[in-house]
Amino acid sequence: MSAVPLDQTHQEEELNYLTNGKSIKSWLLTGDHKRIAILYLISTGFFFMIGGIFASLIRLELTSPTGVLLETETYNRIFSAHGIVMIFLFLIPSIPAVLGNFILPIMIGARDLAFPRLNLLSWYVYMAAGILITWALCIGGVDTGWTFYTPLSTTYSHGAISLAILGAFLAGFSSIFTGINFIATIHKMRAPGMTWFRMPLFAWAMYATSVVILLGTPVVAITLALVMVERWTGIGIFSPELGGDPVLFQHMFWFYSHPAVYIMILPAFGVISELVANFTRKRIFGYHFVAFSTLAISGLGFLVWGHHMFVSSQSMYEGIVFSLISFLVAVPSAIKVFNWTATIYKGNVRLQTPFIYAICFLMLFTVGGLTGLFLASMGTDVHLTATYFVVAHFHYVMVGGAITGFLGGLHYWWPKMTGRMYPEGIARVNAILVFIGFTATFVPQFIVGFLGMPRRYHYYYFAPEFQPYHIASSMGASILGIAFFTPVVYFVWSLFKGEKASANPWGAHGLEWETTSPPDSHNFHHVPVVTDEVYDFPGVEYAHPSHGHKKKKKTAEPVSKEHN
Amino acid sequence: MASSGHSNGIHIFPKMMYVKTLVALLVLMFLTVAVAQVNLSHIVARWGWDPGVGTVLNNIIAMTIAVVKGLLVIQFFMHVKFGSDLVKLWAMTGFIWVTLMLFILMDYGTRKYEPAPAFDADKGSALYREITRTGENPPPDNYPIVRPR
Amino acid sequence: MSSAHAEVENFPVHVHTQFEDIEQQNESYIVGMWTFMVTEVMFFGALFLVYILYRWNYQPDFYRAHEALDWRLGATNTTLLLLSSFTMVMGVHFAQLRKRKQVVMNLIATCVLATGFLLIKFVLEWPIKFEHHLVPGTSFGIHPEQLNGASPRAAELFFSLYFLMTGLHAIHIIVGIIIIGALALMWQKNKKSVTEDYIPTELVGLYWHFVDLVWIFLFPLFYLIPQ
Repeated sequence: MSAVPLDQTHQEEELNYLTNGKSIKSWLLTGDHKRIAILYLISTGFFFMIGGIFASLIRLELTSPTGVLLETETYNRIFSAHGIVMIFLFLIPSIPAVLGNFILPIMIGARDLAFPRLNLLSWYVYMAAGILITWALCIGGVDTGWTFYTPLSTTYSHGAISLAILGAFLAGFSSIFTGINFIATIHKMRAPGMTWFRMPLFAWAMYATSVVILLGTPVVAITLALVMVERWTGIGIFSPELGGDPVLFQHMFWFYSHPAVYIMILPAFGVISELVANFTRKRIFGYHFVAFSTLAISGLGFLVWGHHMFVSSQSMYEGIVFSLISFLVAVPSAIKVFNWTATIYKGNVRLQTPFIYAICFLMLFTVGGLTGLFLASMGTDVHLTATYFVVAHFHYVMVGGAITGFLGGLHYWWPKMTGRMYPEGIARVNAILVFIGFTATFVPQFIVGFLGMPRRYHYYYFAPEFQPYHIASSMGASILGIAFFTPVVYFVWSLFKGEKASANPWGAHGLEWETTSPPDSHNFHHVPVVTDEVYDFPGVEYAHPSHGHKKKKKTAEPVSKEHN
Repeated sequence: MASSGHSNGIHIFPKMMYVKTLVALLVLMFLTVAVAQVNLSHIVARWGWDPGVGTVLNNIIAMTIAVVKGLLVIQFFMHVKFGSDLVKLWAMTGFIWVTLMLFILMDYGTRKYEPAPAFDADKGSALYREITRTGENPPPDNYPIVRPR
Repeated sequence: MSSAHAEVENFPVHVHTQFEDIEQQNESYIVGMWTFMVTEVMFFGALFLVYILYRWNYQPDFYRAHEALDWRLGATNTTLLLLSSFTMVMGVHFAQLRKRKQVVMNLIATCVLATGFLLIKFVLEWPIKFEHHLVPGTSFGIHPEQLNGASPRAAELFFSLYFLMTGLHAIHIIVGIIIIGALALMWQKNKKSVTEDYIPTELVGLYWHFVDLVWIFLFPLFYLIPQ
């Protein structure tokens, strides 16, 4: 490779990945992980907006005890659509496919992912899934909820279930291809000198997420395929009158879908680690603990699926085991939250937008996680299950957790991805607006949930005293909707009018900050050799001498020659 | 893995290894078929044990032979025995995880699982009416709107 | 078991841009293929789970229903697949030695054996089930004598699982035949991407052995149910 200096003044003359080939064909047939990440950004963003429209319809409907404009069947289809679009088309791909695809190879010093064509295929499969699901929704949607419980989905429902299932099936394979890519890349393509424990925690999170994707998604793929076959042929795998067991569907479905929520949150954990370290200019407190707890969550997360089924007639003894392990799986998450908080303590904090999102994450995710404990304990779960308490809990962790993580990461890496800075003032205000809108939306839902409001009901005429809570929640949802839409506007604005960004506008640490913004098509001109430890900020004094690694810094050893 | 100079460091295994593996696989296949012909329940009953034990024994033998055959394919045909530790790890992980998934069966072991009686037995049941329903799709929503209290 | 470290002289080396050297590339591809196979294991594993559950609950009925399956045909199929696995691995072996003719012969042999498997399945086994109304659906069990005294619901479950699992397996075999055929064609036409890099052949081989592995477990579970 030629030794072209990474000189900022030559930036306009050098081709970066955005300018290297401007035809549509060069974008649609690209192998460049950065372009694929941008393609994913546009498509997941689009589906997020669609899911948001369904959410607005839900919140609108619930402002009156007798329902405002939707019939029962239609409402069933609306909340199912919201769930399917948000989960399969937005939450599961978002951080891995957008931020992971873009940043991971640069972060570990590789020129691209291990299998670029597989990466492109994964985007096309994702688009096919999106088209199928949109088609299913256009011809009437499904009324089973995103959980497709049998026997409604196999025998009695008249919705477009098979199409929607086919879409979810393909979305699953898209994420499997991404997972395969990440695992091979992280194992085999780290730069010389980047040992596992010099890898940033975002890369650890991507690795753990990929493992979960690989081990869980095929199970739900088969389960949903069985539902499809059962609809077409009338066999009775899940039908009690034909000898089958509907609870088996729930077991198999939740065997994936619980790890799925870890697929959604682990990447956000990775992003938050990066944000907290770089905006406090301090090494993450307890780096090894955070790394191992990420792996622990990915493993333990497979052992707790039954906590979605405490009232499903599964045996009480299984319930006890699942309840116990669900309490245990909260521990690694708590370890991480403690470590992040300890990192912020006595750190050199700069309250810029990404870090505001990180703080929102810490507060909202903690609340979400703690409310999960009420649901993990069988006794309280019997009262709270299928109420709005559950709805508020998972929105706290998924929106307050995963989406704030995604937004924080997007703001943090936006200058790297596009070479432009977004408007900091508006973005900061917007971040706080997200927090306010989110809290206003979901805190009333916790309350109305434990007061007894069932989920998936479009009326509550039997309890009109719930109305003020629902109205408060809908008001908050309007604020949240505005706060989620504003970034679209200012990000697009920044593409044209934003201030040009330097290679490292945050003064952050990491290999991705040592390339140009936006990066060159091949990321690096020469392969970097890693000699410093991770999150090693110059001139930092530690409060305790035990911070930092106890071992002396090793000389760089080429890592690609290792067997692992 | 041997690598030197410009070669790919390919391990080329002797053909006999593959032939021996194939022979072992075929032998095991005939063995499993042969054992399946033997009615272990009767033999076991003659020893005075519960014949169900014989069925279980037959299952165990069949599965053991299948696992051994599988290991032969994985280790020799798929070169896992000579692969890197990472490949060995991944090969193990898949099978360990499937075993983990089989813990779903723990539910069925700890409660009485009875399938429902055949639906068409009860022609007046709601189930039967729902399945044989014809007409509008979706059905009209004619819940009476109750005045709020 | 000692392995020969034969170094093939002048083996051309093509490294894609994202990799540093050929070893990293080869190992990455093998790791990638194995991770894909882990997903396939979980995919089939879920069906095995359903099967184990229902067989556990309906053991006697499954035994009686399975007597409609001919274990001799099953054993023949198993032999065919094992042989095809052997010819596949020989194909990989010759690919490493860059012996084009032998590779093509072995790959074609694999395809032929696999097609034999499919013929036995689709011509000798499945049509009989349709005739005897043993295919799950509205016409299942119309001739009760075919059920050997098994309860119709449990027998329908057995046959549902039978068709599902062997059907999914057959789809994998068809895909495999297509891929192996395409690979043989590329070897025949001396395309550099396969003749100068043994990894594509090795990866296809891994896939084929996995398909064989699944059948090794399917055969005793469906055809050799003990009393």
